Amino acid sequence: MTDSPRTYHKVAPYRAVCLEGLLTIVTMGCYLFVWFALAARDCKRITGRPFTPILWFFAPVVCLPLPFASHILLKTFSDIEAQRQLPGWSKMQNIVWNGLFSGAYIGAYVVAELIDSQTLQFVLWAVAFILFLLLHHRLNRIRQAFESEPMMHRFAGFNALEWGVGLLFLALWAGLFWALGQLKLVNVETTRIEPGSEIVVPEAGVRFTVNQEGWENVPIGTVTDGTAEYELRGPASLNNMWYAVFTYTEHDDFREVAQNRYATYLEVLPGAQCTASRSLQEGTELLRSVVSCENTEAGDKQLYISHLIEREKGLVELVGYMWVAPRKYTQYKPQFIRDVKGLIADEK
Amino acid sequence: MRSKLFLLLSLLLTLPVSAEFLQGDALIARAKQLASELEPDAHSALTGLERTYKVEVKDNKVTVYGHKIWFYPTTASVQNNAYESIYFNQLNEQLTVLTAASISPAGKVNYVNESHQKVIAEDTYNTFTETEKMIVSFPAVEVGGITLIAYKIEETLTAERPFWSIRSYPQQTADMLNYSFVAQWDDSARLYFDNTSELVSCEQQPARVFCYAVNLVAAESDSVVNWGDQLGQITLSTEPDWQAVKAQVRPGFVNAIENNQGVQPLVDEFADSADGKQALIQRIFEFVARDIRYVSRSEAGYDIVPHNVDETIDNRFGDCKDKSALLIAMLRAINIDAEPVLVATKRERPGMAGAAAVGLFDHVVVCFSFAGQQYCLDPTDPYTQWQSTSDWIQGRVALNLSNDASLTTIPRPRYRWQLQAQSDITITPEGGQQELVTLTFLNEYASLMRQNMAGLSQPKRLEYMVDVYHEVANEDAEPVFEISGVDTMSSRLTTHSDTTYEPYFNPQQGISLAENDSWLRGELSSSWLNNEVYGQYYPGFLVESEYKIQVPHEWALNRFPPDLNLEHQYGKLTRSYRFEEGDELDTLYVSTTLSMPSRYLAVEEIKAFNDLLNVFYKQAPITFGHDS
Repeated sequence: MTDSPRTYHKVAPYRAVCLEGLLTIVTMGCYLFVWFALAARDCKRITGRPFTPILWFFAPVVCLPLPFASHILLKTFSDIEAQRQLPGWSKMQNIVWNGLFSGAYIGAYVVAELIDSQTLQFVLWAVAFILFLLLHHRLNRIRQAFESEPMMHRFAGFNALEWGVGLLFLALWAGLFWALGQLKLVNVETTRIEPGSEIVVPEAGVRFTVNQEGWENVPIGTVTDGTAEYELRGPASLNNMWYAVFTYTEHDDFREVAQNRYATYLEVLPGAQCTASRSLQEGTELLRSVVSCENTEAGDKQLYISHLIEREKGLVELVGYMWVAPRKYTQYKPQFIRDVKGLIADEK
Repeated sequence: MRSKLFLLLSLLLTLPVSAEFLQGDALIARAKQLASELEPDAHSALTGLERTYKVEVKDNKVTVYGHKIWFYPTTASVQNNAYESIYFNQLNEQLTVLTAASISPAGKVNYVNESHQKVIAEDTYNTFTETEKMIVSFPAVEVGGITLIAYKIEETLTAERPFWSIRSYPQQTADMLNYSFVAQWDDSARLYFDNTSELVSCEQQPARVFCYAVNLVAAESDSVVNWGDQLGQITLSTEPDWQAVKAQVRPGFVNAIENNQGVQPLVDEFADSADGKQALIQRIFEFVARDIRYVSRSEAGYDIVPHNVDETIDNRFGDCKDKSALLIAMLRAINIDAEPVLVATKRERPGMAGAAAVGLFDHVVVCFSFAGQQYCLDPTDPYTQWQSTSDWIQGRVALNLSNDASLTTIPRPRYRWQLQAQSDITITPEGGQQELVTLTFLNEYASLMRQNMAGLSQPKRLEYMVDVYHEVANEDAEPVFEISGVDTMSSRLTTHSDTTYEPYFNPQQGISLAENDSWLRGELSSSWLNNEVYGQYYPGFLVESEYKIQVPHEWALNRFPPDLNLEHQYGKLTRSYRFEEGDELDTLYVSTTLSMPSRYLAVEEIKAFNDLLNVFYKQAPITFGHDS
């Protein structure tokens, strides 16, 4: 007779669903990865099946294997429940749960990447979260049927490591909210721009139209070094996207400024492909220049575009920058460029 | 009627007693009187005190009397203006100086003698007049002094030369306090009068006209001015209209062209060697323009009448009338309906021509239609290909002798100056360069360059082009030139230059280059207009510049010249580029076109025009490099 080590048969102790949910929320969902690993570990201990808990850690991380992992886990739960004659879920319930959970979980990622709807993303995360809590309740029932032992001593439901990590995350949350609060104070003048709105910058004597959603004007210095006359920030869901209006004095040479933009963009966007063109403003002897450079860096696309307009005295420029994922780039770039090219200089 | 009486009364009330022509002591007394009436320090430049013309036509004899009195308030006015120029045609006019003298501020009179008078030929290139100029240098002119002159010019109208005209500009480039013009004629010659000056009041009666003006301010001068187009003028002529002018001039041409026995053999000879009609026109024009040398032949009887075509062929010389008659005869021999067209080479505005007069014109050319296109050929121009128009007649006032049309202008091409520049540059890894440039001057531009080089020896021609290169491209370079097309009358003149530049930058310190597009910039810098008072015609130019720039592949160029699309009502500058990578050398191709069509520019437009040239000039350099 082989006497297996005693610890192999002990599972994680019961933890209230609300505490589990709290831990998941506090850790911004990261605890889910640990939960999957511990569930797999307990299944291995109970059934002796060759689960590799560390791999289960990555199932929700990698996302796409999640339906298969969940299927295995649910089937194992059902087997254990049948073996111990515990109340459990039917096969259909397992399928429904897996479909809903995996669908909501993966769907949330897809929405974040492709659809850019924060509301839908939130709803999907909430559905996945609730389903997760149901599953945890089921696991609790299974664990209660076996001898359990915490890895470390628990205080008020959580062990020291969980307290530590939880408090660390709470500190991060607090810091983040404080920073946002500070930013909110600074951004008192921040206002959203409705698509199709004409932006008039009287201090620079220019106007242009923003035709995309999600733009807001931000205080000077938010997206530039503070030398701009006016700044706009693009949709928050994108990595980085902004417009800034700059003015130059009559002593600044048009050709020099336009050429400097070209050289600078080549320097800050390694391997960039650029186009540059100059034309006359209709009915005048005054010039306009459009320089745009784009590159691909670490899988993302970057674009700088400058629309420089010469006036009787001085120059004015609208600079646009975007740094987004390739799919978003294709989606946003054409109108982004059209809006920059639509800059109109009024008399100043 | 009441207004006319009022005008006449006004004129009589304001008319100085001696507004009539004076000479001798009366003129001296008048001059002293006017000088005494001058307000001290009121005049700081040469000032005309009085200018009077009196025209009398009696029994077919025309006499023009004139007197002028000038005041010299400054040393500069004495230095520059103490002389008088009187224009006349010595073939049929007789000039007599009646009185000429200076009067010192102290009142001393110094008379002009014969040694102070000199007659010089004014222009041997004219068609209808052998204009002479008598220059009278006044003696002993002092600051604060005055000069005076009275003269008469007499001419008798004959059956051979029954026409006459006079043109007077009341406003000149100096202030004139009193101006008068009076003319009267009998039944022997009816005169026709026209006044385009708003500064002069005129009263016209059946056989008399009287004009008067006071305190005429000096006309402002400018960089480029055709005074005849800008200043109002009084014209008196024997011709009622332009058809009458044609009737005076045309018979001479008809007669000269009819005597054309020598034409057909020449045309037959040229036809044998010419491939097609265009080539034949070219050959005929070359013969008349080059093999018939220009000699002024406006002797008596031939001031508006060409010599017979056969005589011109035999002599192998002639003036513009003779050459035009010959060209017309030869073109008609190949069934091209060519016609003589009178040209006023100093006039561009038909509306300012005044009364119809033969004397408006000083040149004649040949115009015809061929293949739906109108051509005007100047047979005195041995440098311009027949399909182009000599630049000095473009846009000039013209009168076709063979149709019913009134005054017109010789057509202007869209671009008088056309240049193609092809530059092939190889930049060495050390930062030097080898440059091959082909310049093709087209049409009128080819003609101009040909004119500049035709009289030079081959070495001097090469030196000339090196000088041009130094002026336009780089004064330190030593280009080696080849030139072709100088000795022909083709539409193209081509030069090739080969220039080696020692390293002038260090590629290790970065690649940032600017090629000036010098030939394009050269044309721009020569196009600036300087007029500030009067509008002017801009002749137009078209420059097509092609660059092929080769650089070492390892330089990895990534900054290229911006595309240019600078379009304006006055002109257009466009540029595009193409970049090709190679194993050892990468090649940047840059195409630039600058087009500035000919047009009239009002003076208010000139600043904007120059501003545009300046913008184009600044944008012309081709910039490229590597940035990282």
